[in-house]
Amino acid sequence: MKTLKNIFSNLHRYVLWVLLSVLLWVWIFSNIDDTIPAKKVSLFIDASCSSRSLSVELEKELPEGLKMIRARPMTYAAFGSNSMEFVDLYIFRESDLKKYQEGLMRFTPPEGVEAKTYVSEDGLIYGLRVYDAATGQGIAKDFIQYVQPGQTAEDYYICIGAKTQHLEATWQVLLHFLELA
Amino acid sequence: MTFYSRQNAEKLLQRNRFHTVLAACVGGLTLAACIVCCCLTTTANLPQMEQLAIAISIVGGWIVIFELTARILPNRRMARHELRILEQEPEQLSGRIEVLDRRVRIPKTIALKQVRLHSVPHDRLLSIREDCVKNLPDGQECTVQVVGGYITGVEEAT
Repeated sequence: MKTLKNIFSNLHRYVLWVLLSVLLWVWIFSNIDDTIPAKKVSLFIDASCSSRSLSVELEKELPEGLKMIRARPMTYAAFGSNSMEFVDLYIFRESDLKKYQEGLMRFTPPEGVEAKTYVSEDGLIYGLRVYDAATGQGIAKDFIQYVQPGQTAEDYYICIGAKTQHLEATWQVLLHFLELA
Repeated sequence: MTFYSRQNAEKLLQRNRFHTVLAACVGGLTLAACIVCCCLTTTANLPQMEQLAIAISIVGGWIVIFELTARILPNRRMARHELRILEQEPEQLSGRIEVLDRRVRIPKTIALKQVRLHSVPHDRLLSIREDCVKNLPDGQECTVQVVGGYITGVEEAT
């Protein structure tokens, strides 16, 4: 009885501790789950996705010198003012490509990939199709929901960010991504 | 019968040392377990490890808060109170005891009850530790030992 009485009279301390614990460990683990742009390849996806599962899958072939590969939905960019700036890879829907093309790197097609899968403007290549809305064929469909309920299906393209800090590693991740079923 | 003794104060301080060590151990183990969770974290198991660390931290913290608020601090207050009372010489007062239904709790001190001692030439309002009230002969004539307004012992009139 005395013990219960004591617990109730200090209930505010117990509740405060729960809040502090949650805030502290969420902050610590969000730091563990991230690192500086130079040590990771980040992939932002403009669609619903199983970001953690995709990250785990991509990390199976982690390029040398990197600590992690992070796939994130595009909404994640809202949590940091420069989140979008140093992203290495993007997956955009076709209608958004023009809007973002300023920050995208132009590149030559990797070997074995057919030219028709590239989006080109003024002869420059800046996107590689990963989802074909006409056929419903796409890469990593287990992880990325290319067709949103209530929206018209669109082609999706994977692009390289112009400010990527490790182009070679980004290429390796891009090629690994293209190999996913 | 005396309510205050050096042995009792020392017993309280000894018990306090045990609870302090226990709280420190629980706190240390909690922190260590959470650090282990951080070290074992991978991309795949991060949500599980995060939840585990939060759960361990909450339970460990609750145990420490409980030890602190229910054991360590009350014991320390009681021991200090006893030692302070024992330093002084008690005065003897006789009269009829009336235990008042009035509980006094000065914040961060021990719980007290108020007692009126009906004596000549005037009544005295005294305090007694709540856990000692049961030893007072309520409504009877007796002699009490008093230090600084606290009843430290009682002798029933024969």
